[in-house]
Amino acid sequence: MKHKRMSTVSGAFRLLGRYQPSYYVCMIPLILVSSAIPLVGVWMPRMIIEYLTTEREYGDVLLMISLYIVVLSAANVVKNILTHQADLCVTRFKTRLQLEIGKIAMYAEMREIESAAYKEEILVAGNVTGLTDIMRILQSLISSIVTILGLAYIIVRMNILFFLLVGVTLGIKVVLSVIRYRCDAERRLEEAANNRVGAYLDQLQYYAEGAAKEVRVNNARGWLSGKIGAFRDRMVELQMKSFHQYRLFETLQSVAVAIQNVCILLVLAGYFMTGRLSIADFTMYFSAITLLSSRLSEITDQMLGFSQKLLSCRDFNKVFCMREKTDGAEGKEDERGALKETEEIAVLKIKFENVSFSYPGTSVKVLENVSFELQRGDRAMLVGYNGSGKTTVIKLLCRFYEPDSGKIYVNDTDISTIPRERYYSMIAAVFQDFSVFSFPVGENVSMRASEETETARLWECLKKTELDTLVENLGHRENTPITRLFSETGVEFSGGERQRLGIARAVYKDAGIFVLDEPTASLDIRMEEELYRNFYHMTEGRISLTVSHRLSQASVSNKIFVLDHGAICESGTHEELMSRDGIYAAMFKKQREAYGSRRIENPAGEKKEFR
Amino acid sequence: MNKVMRLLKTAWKSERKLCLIIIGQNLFESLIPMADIMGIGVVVDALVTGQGRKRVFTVIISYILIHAGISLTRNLFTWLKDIEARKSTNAVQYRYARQSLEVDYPYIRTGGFLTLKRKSMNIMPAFCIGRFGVCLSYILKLCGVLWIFTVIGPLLILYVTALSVPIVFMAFCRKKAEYQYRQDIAAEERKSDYLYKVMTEYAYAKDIRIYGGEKLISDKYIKNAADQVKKRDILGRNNARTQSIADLCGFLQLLGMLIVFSYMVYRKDISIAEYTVLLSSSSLFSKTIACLFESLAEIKEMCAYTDILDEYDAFIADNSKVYSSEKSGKDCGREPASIDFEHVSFRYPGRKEAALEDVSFHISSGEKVSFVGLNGAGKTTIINLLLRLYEPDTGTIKVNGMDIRELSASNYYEYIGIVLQDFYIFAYSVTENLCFDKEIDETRQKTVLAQAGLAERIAGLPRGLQTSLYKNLDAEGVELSEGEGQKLAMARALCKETGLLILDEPTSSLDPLAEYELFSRMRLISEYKTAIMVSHRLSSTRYSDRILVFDGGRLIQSGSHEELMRSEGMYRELYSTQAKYYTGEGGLYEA
Repeated sequence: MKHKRMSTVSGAFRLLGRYQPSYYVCMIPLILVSSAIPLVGVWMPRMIIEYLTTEREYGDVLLMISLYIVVLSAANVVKNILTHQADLCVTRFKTRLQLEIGKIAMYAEMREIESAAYKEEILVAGNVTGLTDIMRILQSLISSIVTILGLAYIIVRMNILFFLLVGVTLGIKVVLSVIRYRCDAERRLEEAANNRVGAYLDQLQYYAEGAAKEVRVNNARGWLSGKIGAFRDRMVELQMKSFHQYRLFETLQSVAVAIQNVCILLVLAGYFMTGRLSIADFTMYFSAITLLSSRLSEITDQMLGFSQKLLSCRDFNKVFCMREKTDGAEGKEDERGALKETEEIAVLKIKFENVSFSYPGTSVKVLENVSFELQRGDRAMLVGYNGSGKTTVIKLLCRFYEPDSGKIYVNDTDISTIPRERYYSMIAAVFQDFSVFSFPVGENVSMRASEETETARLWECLKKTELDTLVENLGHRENTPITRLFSETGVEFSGGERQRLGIARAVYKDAGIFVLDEPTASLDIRMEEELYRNFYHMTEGRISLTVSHRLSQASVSNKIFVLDHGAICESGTHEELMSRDGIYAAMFKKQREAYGSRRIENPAGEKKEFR
Repeated sequence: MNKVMRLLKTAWKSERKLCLIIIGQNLFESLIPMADIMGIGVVVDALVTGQGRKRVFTVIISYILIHAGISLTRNLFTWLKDIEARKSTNAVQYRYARQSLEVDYPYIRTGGFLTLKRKSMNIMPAFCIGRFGVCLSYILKLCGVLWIFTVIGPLLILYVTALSVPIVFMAFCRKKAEYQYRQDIAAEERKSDYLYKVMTEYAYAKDIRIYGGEKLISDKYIKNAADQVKKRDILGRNNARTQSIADLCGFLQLLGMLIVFSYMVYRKDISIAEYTVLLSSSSLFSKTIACLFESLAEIKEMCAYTDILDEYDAFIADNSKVYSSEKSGKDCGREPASIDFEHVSFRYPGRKEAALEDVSFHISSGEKVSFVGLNGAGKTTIINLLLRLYEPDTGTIKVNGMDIRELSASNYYEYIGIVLQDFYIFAYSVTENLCFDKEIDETRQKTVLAQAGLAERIAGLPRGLQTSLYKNLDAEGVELSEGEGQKLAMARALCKETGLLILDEPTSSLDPLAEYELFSRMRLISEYKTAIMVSHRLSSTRYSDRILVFDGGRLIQSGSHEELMRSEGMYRELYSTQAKYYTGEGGLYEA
């Protein structure tokens, strides 16, 4: 544990050295100056008093006074400037660190992102402020220590006994702090758990899509405010405990300091009376002692804050270890990828070969021995009940996970050997839970900055997905931000509009593999029809793979695979599968019945209505 | 000044106990340096006047004892203050949370409201009182020092006070800049939080990877970070400048005092003991005066926040319409609902085109109605208006003959069962997801779960109905798929005894079999209820008595399936389009 804490500090320093080396240039002189200022305040007045009591010329006294003021002024100005610079470095460091973590997350493997451990780690890493706070506390901690050492030196020079005395009080303080820290550890764990609840409740109230609506329309406001109340009460309860502890220790410490001060003062007075000390020295020692005890009580707080922050940042390095892992992986892939550099990007073939898969940490086989092959121009469809493994096939194809056994090939190349960026340039996908960003519409489609977006192509895609009239009517056309999170002129898209936006994004990308997961779930009939009509055009010369509950999709698919409990149980064209009378036929009939039964119910002759 | 008085008055009224504690705390706080100063004076005096050893030792010990006594009392007060302040802040935060739950739906996710809320939370009573208390302690210290200074005469005091003017001015400048900075930086901070979320959260990960959005997002972050640093730099420069000027003035004060005091010692006007007292007082004086004005500036800044507080209160008062008529509102009864839309028009904020235009229709009690139309036709908007999530721009909506604005909101919501298009499943137990804080017996819960097709899944869970869902709060929580979540939302809608059932795309995540089963139970589950269903699957219309067809925010057709199929129009067109895939009428397949 001790070791771990130290590694957090050294890790933080390493990161600081990597991203903001100029911080050190500010920090070292800053520490020196800010620890020197109080020492000057102790030492210079002594000189003035000495000059006064030793019958010097008043001119000398004036000189001394001026010197004192000049030194103080200069030191303070330097301190102010350095503080600003150091603060700026810390701000830069903070944003940089956040960016780096974000990049780590963006370049990490999907399976890592999906793991529970990642969620924990990223939560810890999100506490960048904690890390920068450590730097700030450390900075003032070190200057306090330097000041204390300086004061200790002044005092000890007088009498070695004082050193022991100060040592004892310091020792008591350290022991008390350690005890307190230990007592705190458990409470802090409870606090962290409670804070997670708080964060989730916050999410429910303001940020989670749909949650705020549910709470209102289900009259669950009382329920939710009950939860919030419970969270708050628990928080207060935990904090009360720490207040009690804190004050108790504080009191014990001030008693210890009072005893120390009595001893030191008595000894000093004794020295003065026996003539071993001038009155100037006496005042200096006196103010040195007062300063020392106030610094000592400050330093315990700083140390405590420091160790608390350390605890909250202890897993910080883990995230950066993850980074090193991904870095390594990327490097290796680059080497392997380089061999294939000359290869055509056009995707001619996708092959699943005996692919089996179960999610990490579970024993259930989600896919078992799945094999299929798709050629350029194929429009394939994956069908199956909820939980049959359809989405998993897509996740594997998108390389978010690697198969436990078996291989996936694109153009006869194992996809795990293709560098990530290169592979993803071949694939466009609309996921069931695809995301819409609070960015301008255009950027949402191109996923490039507005300046890099090809406007003509963008509008073509918007037109294909029938978003063009909508976007034309927006205040800033394609530059209108989605959602009102950052701009009052932002626009909220409806479910169907969002889905079309997702498809527009995939069309804009113009990639060899076209993956659609439930593309028509929130599309209306005409739009669905439109999608099917455009489907040939959109997937021309590509390979498309669609997961859909809407078997109408079969009308535009030339290969249908039926998944059941992780295995492909049927495959073929619509006609072949209908004649097999298996799962597919059963599903199709169910959907047909919904439409067809009308004809049975209704008198004959209504049939013509369908034309 | 008025504002200060107002702040003080409200603080005193709401937190009397805390006010008294803080006064006590700061009284003792200000006594500590006074004790130090007087202490050294007395000790030095005892020493230089050559009094006996016993006398000196008594002086020292009593000085330390007094000092310790004051510190301990201060500690005691601080302890009480921490506790009271925490309680008070907690109560205020809780109030804010409750208010957010009452704010009308359109506002809760907008940056405007969230920023306003965050800003107004900067000025909690405990925090205000704390600042006033700190200010008080500086004033007391200053009074003590001035009392000591009376020894030296008015001229020096004048000099010192004159030099305090720039110090004060600088403190004000600094606080103003900091206030401005906090206002300015809020937007950037929110943006960087959002971008960080986008970079790190699972929800965005897939799209970012596939579409290579890494660069777009990190570039945005970098740009935003540069803005943040720039603003911070401006603030920091300003601070360094004003702080340095203030420091220099402070040292000039000290210089003047040192020169005068030393001259007095030189002239033997005062003793060395008095000199030390004056010396410590003078440094205390310059320190305190800077702090005092800084704290005054903080109070002034706080006053600026009172406007925000007013703005927030006004916002809450104006925009909690739905719940404002809670007590006086009418009861909508328990009969199956009849619904009237009378010339309702509506436009979403930020949109140019109207979402609904002059829509009128009547749904009779117990009727089963389907809403059909293309995306953006206004179906979900009608639901949103009916649920009072938004308010129509013109026109009225009546339920059971009463304007819904006159109904008590919670009574009304108790009357409706809903599956939202963007339904949400909470990371709490199954039971809580079904009934929230209402008592509903287990048999009923199991019945509705069965009706939604989820009974087996829930029965198979380790702790049955009490199993937590998702892992957000409980490591042993169970993950539900989208489809299972939708089924649970359906069960939730059925769990209440309601007169109106609203289903917005209730099968969008279900497989054909589950969809079929749900539709076939439709009649049963909507028995004795009025039901409204929105669905893209026109097959669902067979369970409806009547179908309303919307296009471009207008109601264009209404009638039974047979009637609508008989006449030319959108419904027939849409139905045939969809049916052809299944019935072979489209000529695609002959099954």
